[in-house]
Amino acid sequence: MKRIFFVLTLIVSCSSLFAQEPADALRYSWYAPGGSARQQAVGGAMASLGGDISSIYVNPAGLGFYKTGDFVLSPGFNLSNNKSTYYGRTEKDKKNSFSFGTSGLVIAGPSDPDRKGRTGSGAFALAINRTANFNSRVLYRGLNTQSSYSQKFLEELKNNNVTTDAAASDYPFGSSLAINTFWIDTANGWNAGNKTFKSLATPLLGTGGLLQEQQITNSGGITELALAFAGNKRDKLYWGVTMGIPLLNYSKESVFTEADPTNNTANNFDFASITENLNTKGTGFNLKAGLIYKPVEYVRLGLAIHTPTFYHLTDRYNASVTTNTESYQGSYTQSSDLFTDGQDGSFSYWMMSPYRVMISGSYVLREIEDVRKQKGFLTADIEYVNYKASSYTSDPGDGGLGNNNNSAADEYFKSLNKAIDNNYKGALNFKVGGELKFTTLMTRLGFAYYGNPYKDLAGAKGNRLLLSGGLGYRNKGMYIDLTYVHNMTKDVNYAYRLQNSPFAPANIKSTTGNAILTVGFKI
Amino acid sequence: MVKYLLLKCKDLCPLKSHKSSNFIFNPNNTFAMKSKILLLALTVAAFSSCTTAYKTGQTPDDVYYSPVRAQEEYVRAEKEDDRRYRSDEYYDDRYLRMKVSNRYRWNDLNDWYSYERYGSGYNYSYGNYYNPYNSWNYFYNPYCNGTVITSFKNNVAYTRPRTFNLNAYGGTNPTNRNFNMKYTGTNTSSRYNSNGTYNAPRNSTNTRARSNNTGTVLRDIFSSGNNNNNNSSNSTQKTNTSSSSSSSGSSGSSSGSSNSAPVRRF
Repeated sequence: MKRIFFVLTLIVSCSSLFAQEPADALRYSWYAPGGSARQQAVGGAMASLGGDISSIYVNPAGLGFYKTGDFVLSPGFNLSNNKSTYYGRTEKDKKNSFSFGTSGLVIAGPSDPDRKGRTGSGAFALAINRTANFNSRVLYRGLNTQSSYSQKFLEELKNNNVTTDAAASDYPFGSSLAINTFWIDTANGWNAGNKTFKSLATPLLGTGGLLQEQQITNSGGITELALAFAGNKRDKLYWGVTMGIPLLNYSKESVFTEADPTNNTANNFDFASITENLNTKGTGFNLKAGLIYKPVEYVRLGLAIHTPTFYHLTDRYNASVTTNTESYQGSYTQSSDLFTDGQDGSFSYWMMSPYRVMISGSYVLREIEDVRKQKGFLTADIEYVNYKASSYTSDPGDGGLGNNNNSAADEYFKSLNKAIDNNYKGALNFKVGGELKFTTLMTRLGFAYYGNPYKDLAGAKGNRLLLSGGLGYRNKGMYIDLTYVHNMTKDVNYAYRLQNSPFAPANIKSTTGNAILTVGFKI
Repeated sequence: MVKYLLLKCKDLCPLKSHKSSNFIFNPNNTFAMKSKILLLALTVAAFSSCTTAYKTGQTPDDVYYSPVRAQEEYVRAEKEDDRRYRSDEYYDDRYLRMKVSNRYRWNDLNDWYSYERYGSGYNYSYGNYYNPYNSWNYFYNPYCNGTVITSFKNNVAYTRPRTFNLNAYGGTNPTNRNFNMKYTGTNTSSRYNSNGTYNAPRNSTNTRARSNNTGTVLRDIFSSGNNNNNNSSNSTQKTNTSSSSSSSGSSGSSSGSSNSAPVRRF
């Protein structure tokens, strides 16, 4: 009931999408999509193979192979481990979560012969899939002698030429909290005209540095509903179209702390910590279309195009800061609630994810009805994703934005889109897999490589390597597939970025084990 | 069998509590899980029965080859249409013919009339649980009084995009783009003292706030040299991260012992 209520609320409110940092755009586009156990076992390659319900999310033309029906359920389980290195120190953290792969229904049958007597078939499919899984926990710590998180606030106030009380009230999710708790303060000589701010933490950079710790707990994912139609002509040319409705739900709890590494109680800084909570929810829309052609027996060639997903998202967020400046002003805590009457900040906007193009080839031995003569297949996909094509626009219907800030938001989004252009690039993803079939038993292996989406501007690099294996059994009108996918990802995480001072990323090596079970019934 | 399952569903249904005049939706109700399991079991059972056609012989593998259903099945179905009535079909047919001739006379033989339209069995009580005026359709019934549906939608006071210093992302023009997405709300009642003056910070003592030991914990972690084996269970914010909830409307704070900071004036 709760989930139904949630879905109805989403539909009624036409909820919105919320990602206003370049890293957000990448999160919603750079992932290894989930699927059925069989598809995941062969590296996720499905752009030319067909005959599996997961085709609906890769190349819907693959549904055109169906002349019978399927009902499929694919529960799964994820074990996420992260190893992070920050200023030479390595930490580990982990998080487990339930998930599910492609589940749904395929209904298919032969079509009437045309005037020339050529036969074909048609298929309809309805499915749901956990396309992206955000569940993870990241922890890193290090001794930083180069910069302080508080410099981020100083830069914000300086950039906006803030020299009044506005500094303490107009930035309730960061700078105002920092100044009211004395993480930063007015510089000496303020009343004499020196309208600048100083940090209580930065003096420690010259006396040994700052201990820094970042904890991030991510949860949620993208669950995509899909409806597809497919068909074929003479079992030679297959076509298909999918309409996808992704439901995005992402939550992030982030706690950053920096502290005096010594026990000196006379240096006016013990520690400061900022806690930020963010929830992004929204729905999107996309189309996927594809063709598969069989030039000769055994060989299949595929082409698929995914349009960008147009998301309407809403962010809800809050923050709090605690600072202990010892003899300077003592210990203080302040929350954004103080400025927002106890309610979260909220903002709705549009986001467009990148388009995707994929080509594929498969060799199937043999395409014959007698399952005893079906020996196996090899399949490979190459996918191009233009990550810098992500973009944001403000939502004119967001009633709360209003007036002067509407144009300011538009300006911000323009620069955000430019930052995305400058930080990311297009990348190729490779997926290869194969199956050996022994009448009713099947064994599978797969491999996938997701290329680096970053332009190397600040040491940012990333890639994903997936190794997979699985078993299958098909008999008596049903089938069971079990797959394990080992996902090794290299990525970076920035606790903060500075305009005029050095900052460094934490290098994240994450390994995620994903077990998927697909149970299917022929109908 | 189907009727039994429907009755079972009603037994599980939390909406029977709608008899209460002030129904409040309970998000923690375990009904959702029970109903999911039941629904899953029913679905699997239903689709298992659909596979009867493949219980014998080979099960098609559509990746390799998807055969058209054998024409024989359709021929067999047509043959079955010509078979003799089974006894229950015969009585169903007779009942329907009688019902058409006089729709009220044979109501008592109709399960729907007996159990669902006017309550269970031959009891015509309106207070009965199965009466449609207070059972399955109650939730949306316009004649229903006193039902309260809790709204989870929060009103929000601050509607601005989260902004980042994009100058810190290489490649943008670092000097010309300042985004002053400052908060311009008018409700300032909580920012100052009742007399409108700035509440100066307390005179702190020259000691660390020992009960607020975030810094101490972080120093201890580093001094222990506990590399490569740490996780968030051994961190400065263990309590905070496990209990805070995003978009909950109340931020977690790093310590319970720090004073709440007022909004400053310079």
